[in-house]
Amino acid sequence: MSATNDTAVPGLNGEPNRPSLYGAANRDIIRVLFKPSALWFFAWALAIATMSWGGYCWYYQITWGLGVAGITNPTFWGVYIVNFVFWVGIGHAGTLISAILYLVRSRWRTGVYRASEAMTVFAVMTAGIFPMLHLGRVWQVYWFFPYPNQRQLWMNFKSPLMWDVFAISTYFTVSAVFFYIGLIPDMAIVRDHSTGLLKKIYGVACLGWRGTNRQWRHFMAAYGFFAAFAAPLVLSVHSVVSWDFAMANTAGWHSTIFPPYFVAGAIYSGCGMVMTLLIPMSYLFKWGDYVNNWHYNNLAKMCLLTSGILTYAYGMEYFIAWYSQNPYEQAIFWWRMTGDYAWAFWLMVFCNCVAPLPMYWSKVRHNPAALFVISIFINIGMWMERFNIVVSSTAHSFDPATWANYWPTWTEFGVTVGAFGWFSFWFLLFSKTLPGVAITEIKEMIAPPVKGGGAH
Amino acid sequence: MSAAPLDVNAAIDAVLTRKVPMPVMAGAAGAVVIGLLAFVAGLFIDPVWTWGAVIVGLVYLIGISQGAIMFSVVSTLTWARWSRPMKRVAETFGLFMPVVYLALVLFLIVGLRVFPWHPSTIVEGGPVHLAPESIAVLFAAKPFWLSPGTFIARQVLGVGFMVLLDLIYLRSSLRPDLLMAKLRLGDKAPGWWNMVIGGATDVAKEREASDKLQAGLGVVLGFTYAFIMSMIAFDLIMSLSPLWYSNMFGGWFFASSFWLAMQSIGVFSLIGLDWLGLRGWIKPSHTHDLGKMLLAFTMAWAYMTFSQILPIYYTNMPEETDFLMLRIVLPQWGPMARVVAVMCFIMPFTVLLSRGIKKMRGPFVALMLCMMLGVFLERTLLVMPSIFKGPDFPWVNFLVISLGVWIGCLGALVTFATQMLTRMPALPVSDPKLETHSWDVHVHAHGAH
Repeated sequence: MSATNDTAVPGLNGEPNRPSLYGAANRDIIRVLFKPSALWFFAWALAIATMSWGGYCWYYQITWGLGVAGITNPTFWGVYIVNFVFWVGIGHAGTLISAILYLVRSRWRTGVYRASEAMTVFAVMTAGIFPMLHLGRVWQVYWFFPYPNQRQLWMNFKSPLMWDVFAISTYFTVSAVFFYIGLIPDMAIVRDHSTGLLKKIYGVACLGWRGTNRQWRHFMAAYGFFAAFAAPLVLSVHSVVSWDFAMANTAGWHSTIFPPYFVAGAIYSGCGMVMTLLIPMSYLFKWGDYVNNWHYNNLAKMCLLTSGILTYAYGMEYFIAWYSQNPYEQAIFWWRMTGDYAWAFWLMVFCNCVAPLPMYWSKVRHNPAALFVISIFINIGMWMERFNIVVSSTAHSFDPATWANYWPTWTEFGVTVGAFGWFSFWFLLFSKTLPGVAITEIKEMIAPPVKGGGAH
Repeated sequence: MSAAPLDVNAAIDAVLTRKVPMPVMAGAAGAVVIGLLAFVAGLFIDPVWTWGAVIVGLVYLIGISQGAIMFSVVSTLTWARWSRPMKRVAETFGLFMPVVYLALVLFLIVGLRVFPWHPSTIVEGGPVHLAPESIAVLFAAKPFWLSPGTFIARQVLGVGFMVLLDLIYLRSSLRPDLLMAKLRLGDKAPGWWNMVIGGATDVAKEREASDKLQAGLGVVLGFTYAFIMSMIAFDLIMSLSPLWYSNMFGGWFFASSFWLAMQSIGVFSLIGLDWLGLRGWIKPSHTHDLGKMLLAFTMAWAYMTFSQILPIYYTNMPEETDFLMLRIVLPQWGPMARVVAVMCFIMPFTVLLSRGIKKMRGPFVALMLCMMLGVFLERTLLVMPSIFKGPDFPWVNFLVISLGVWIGCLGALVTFATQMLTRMPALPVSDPKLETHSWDVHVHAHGAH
């Protein structure tokens, strides 16, 4: 027997139902552009409303000062930092899916990477708002940047917060460029299917793409280069974010496992958010041929892997706190699961360690409704994880005399909700203006058209 | 690259004729003898160092054997095709795990006094005081966790459990292949295959059952690998400095063990390319993929090492920094730390960026051998400074005992693997993913290969 029988290859099971013609891919993906439905308008209006509410809360805080937020002694890092870390985390999956899975030749990325990249760019845009909110006096935001004051004093480059500025701005730049490069051939297809002003806009946006051999060669070189360039950034960004905490001599924060643990958590939350966005998107846009159970199954497996890493990391944190015999470490970890924020801790454990477990069953991984519900749990769990880390350690630090609990005020809640509105605003706009699935890469998976019906 | 279709029957038939080449057999046996002599001589020269060298050998071999099983598991779970021609070599290394387990048990019986927390430790300075210094400690862990009884019990049970899972997994993986080979070879097939095959007669059915079991068990093995390898790292390495702790240490150890296993599998497969009948199955595209994986894990090793060092360096707390100072700054160990940085990161990272080197058999093997040596030095650097208290680097101890024991460990592994591979096909012959798929085509921007 030879091991060359392709029909018996399990690896090909569960492929998407590929459309048989190149034209179908163009038609199916482009047809949803520029024709917003009533449901889309409703969702967009809701996004604008919540975004406006968030904007008002920010205005209120600017008017009355940072005191309207709940952050006060001893907890000076509250929900704004929680949201910052949460949204940076969400921004992780896009580059992971588009760059790393491209490098390892995972074909399933094709259907989902465009929306994931868009999600990444918008999530990092959302995350970037929170340091400004946290700053209070937002007009001094330029202090973030490496820019000396009148006495030629520079900011503290030894501060992890400064590293964050570099890491996240680099990540945003590379992710946005990578997103744009991938869009070029697809925008040319939209150009070719448009007329009038739209044709001109997309003609400029696609940089005069004609699909020549030379252009494709340059495109592939640039795409491969950016994929390789972006891959280490996936690790670096959230590692640097984790060092905002790990570099502090604070019980519960100073932890060597934080970088890989944060990266795994970010991928977990990002993949969860991809499912939250793509499952309804695919259903509403009738994209079952392009985004389907094959992709959901693999996204679910990514979530299972990263959930396992998180569970391991939680376990190691507790084990080492116990093993260390360090009273402060032991106290904070004990308090996290029994103290005033125990609800957040157990919600985190449930959502990140328990809720994904049904995905070990293949039937669940092939059930979009079940996956959508689990993805919501994932989003909640990852927000809770950041709340658990950020708030508890400062609220319950070394000196019992300083212990005090933190609770966000309505302005902080308003901004938090507004951030989801801001993110949704951009994502909904994206869904109607740019191809949500990579048309050219989908075509790579379609049997080439040949004379006589396509058998080849 | 041959254009003719590859036939797995040749891999099956080779079982009847494959013999270990005499130079290999003699070399591996010689290495084992060197290892034994180094161990015995070491017990007279410096018993503390010798037992430390045994720990290095144990964690090194556990890393290769268990990491190799994970290589097979990861190939299975990710449906990877490029790694299939190396899967059986990996599993052969994995079959060595019970032998390593027995060595570990022996060490636990006779070598435990090398740990500074042991009540009758042989390490200079006597047993370390483990009771908590602060009355505020909620749970006094170390007097319980680092006591001989609990230490031995969890090692024997934990590693034993992992070995049990390994054997079930390996049997499941071997079963359809041996059945297929048995159906072809008939009575000429080795008798021990019947223990694996049992009453099975249908290859397709066994293949399906095997894939299902491997996938399910692979997930369990993945978790077991993470937790048990972390336990091994905490117990066999970290507890040599009983007051130091790092919660990334376990993860760092199991990730680098996987990396070490890939190097070992690559070296063995490529050196034995013709002898194992893998030429044609392992093409330049496969070594290119292996090289990319090694490059990724080289970066991961550097990332995890840096991530572990940076918070400790930055917060600058004496109870944490002395572990690093001893290894990186002090003159007796600092040079070795720099050699490790070169051999484990700077050199492989720089060289593996080249596409060509990953496809050139000789240079690629040489690079992987250097990396294996680098990991040996890295493990030595983790273990020895905790128990060796001398002011200067002990060159005699290192060259005679450490290198000798390490060579002996590798000799034992090579002896075992070569003997096993004369008794079974060197390829997963019934695995449909053995064949390259059209999706696996390599596309490079400038058309160069």
